[in-house]
Amino acid sequence: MGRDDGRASTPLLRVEDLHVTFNPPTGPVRAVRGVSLELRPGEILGVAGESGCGKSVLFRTLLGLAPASASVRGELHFEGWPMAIDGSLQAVAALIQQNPGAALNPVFTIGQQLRLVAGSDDPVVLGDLLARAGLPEPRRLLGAYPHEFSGGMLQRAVIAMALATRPRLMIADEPTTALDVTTQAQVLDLIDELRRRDGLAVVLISHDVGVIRRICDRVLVLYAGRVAETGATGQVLENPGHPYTRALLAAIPRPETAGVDLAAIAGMVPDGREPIAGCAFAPRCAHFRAECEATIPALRLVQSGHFAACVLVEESP
Amino acid sequence: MSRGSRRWAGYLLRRVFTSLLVILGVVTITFVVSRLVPSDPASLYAGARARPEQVEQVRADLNLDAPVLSQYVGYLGDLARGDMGISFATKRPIAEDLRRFLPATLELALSATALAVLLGVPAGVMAASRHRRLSDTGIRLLAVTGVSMPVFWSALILQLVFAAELGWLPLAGRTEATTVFAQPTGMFVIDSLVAGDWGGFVDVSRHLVMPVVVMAAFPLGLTIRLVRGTMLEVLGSDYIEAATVARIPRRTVLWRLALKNALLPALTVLGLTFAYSISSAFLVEAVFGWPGLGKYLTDAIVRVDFPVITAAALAITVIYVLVNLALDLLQARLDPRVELA
Repeated sequence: MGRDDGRASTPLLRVEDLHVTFNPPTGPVRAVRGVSLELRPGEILGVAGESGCGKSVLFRTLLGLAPASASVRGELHFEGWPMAIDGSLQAVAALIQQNPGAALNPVFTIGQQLRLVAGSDDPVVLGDLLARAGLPEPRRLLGAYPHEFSGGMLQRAVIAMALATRPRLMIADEPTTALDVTTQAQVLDLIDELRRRDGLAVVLISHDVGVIRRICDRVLVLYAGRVAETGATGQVLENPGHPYTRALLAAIPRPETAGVDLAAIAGMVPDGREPIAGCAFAPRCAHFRAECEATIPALRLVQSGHFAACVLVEESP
Repeated sequence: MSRGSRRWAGYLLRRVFTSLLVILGVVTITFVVSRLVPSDPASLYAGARARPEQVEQVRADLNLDAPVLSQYVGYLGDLARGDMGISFATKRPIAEDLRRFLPATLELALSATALAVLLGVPAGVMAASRHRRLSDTGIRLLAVTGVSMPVFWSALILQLVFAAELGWLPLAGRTEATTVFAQPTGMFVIDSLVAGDWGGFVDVSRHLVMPVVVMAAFPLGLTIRLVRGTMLEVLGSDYIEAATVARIPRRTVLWRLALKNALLPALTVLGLTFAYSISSAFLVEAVFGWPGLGKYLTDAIVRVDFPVITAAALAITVIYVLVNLALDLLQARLDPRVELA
């Protein structure tokens, strides 16, 4: 995690020790418990973890979508400049939501919606945005309503809408979960192309390791609102350092293990209402030791650029 | 992809045609019911002390001894010519009476609905955008008051304060006796403006204020609650969240992007409230001495004046059908998801 060694390696986005706590009447719920991360220009960062691990909350908070009652603490740097942690990212980031069918306003045409976001009336500019998102006959589609689109076309229109804000980075929250497999692949290719052609940095939130393997440069594994493991996608997926990552990978169906029972992870994700003194995964971990419950394990170096928050990792110098 | 104007014209024609069918159905039902009622229209018309020969004479005059089918055809023909028959009680042509009384009620109901929508929609949007804050609570309180205050009570209070105590507004009626202008529509606000009679317009408006406010209270409360509810739902949707993240100004998000979605489900209820206010206007009309349909109809009910009752019922039905037609067309215009089939 090289930092501050010259302008070229300045990360696009740096989040330092982010905590997000919801405050419902039933008592505080800690959704994010101290996450630090970096995103480099033109990089696709995969964010993985089970439902409830805090991966959506983390980025929705940065986009200013946390409920007003939530308490947010931490630091945010964009291109090295400090910014307000809870929402100022809106100015430079776009959000791709999970369900493209609900992400567009049903009673306005695609053109009307695009016009508002892009701040331009020029059909050439608007058509170009749709074309960049890979939609055919963009000029004709400007007059169409969302319900006339298929799922894949909708997600492309949503991406065009995101591009209209001229974002520096795109936060895609499960962008392919609602799509069928062929369409999934096309949308992932589109995201990859936008990164290559426009240098767009992307945060891809997904519980699907296959999706992450396909296009992500680096991956961040979250568990119970903390970082369990982070590193280059190949390193983390081929040589996982954290037992949670290993369990997560073992729970994926693969052709070579067909017929064999999948290794579902026993136990439940810890409740956000409980304080967790040590490793949050300890109660479900096969390699549990006494020291796991004593202190929160720090991120230990597995190999260059690859870290895991587990006491089992023998830190190499 | 865009809706062709030919498809739209086809949809319009089909909806108008089905509306006409509904009206024909109601005409038939009113006809059948009026023949099933266990009383003799001829003796009712002739009066209580008529001799049998006189009753028979009336029966022949009114064509009541003809076969039922030819009576039905005759009835349809009369209606098509705008002839709704003669009142038993006053012996006056009903169509002429309706032309006088219906516009008076329409003027009340239209003004009240306009007031309710013009105030209620913004209030509902504001309440939803300030969800659970003080102004939201205040607006909701207003809405509940509007919905639950009985008309005769609020009318009396207003009369007591603004007419009797302060003397700012006239107690009852539609105009002062001195106000005279031509009445082509029967809606005096329009008529006075058409006649260019400014003094008459002021007089008519002053008379309208209290009955309209009283009549608007219920639809206003309903509008606020409806719009607040549908707005809250829309504001929680993904596309509004997306618009917020895309930094579209809050005002545009609320009044343009969200409101159009929120109005669609509210529209139907508002239209039906308007239609209902016409048939329920009699309380307001009674308190304010307003010579409208409600007063005309209650008088007819008290006198068992059947031709008037059926004619008024028919008029109210036609208004319901027209309002429904207008709502459907408006809905199809505003909501691209409506199938024009």
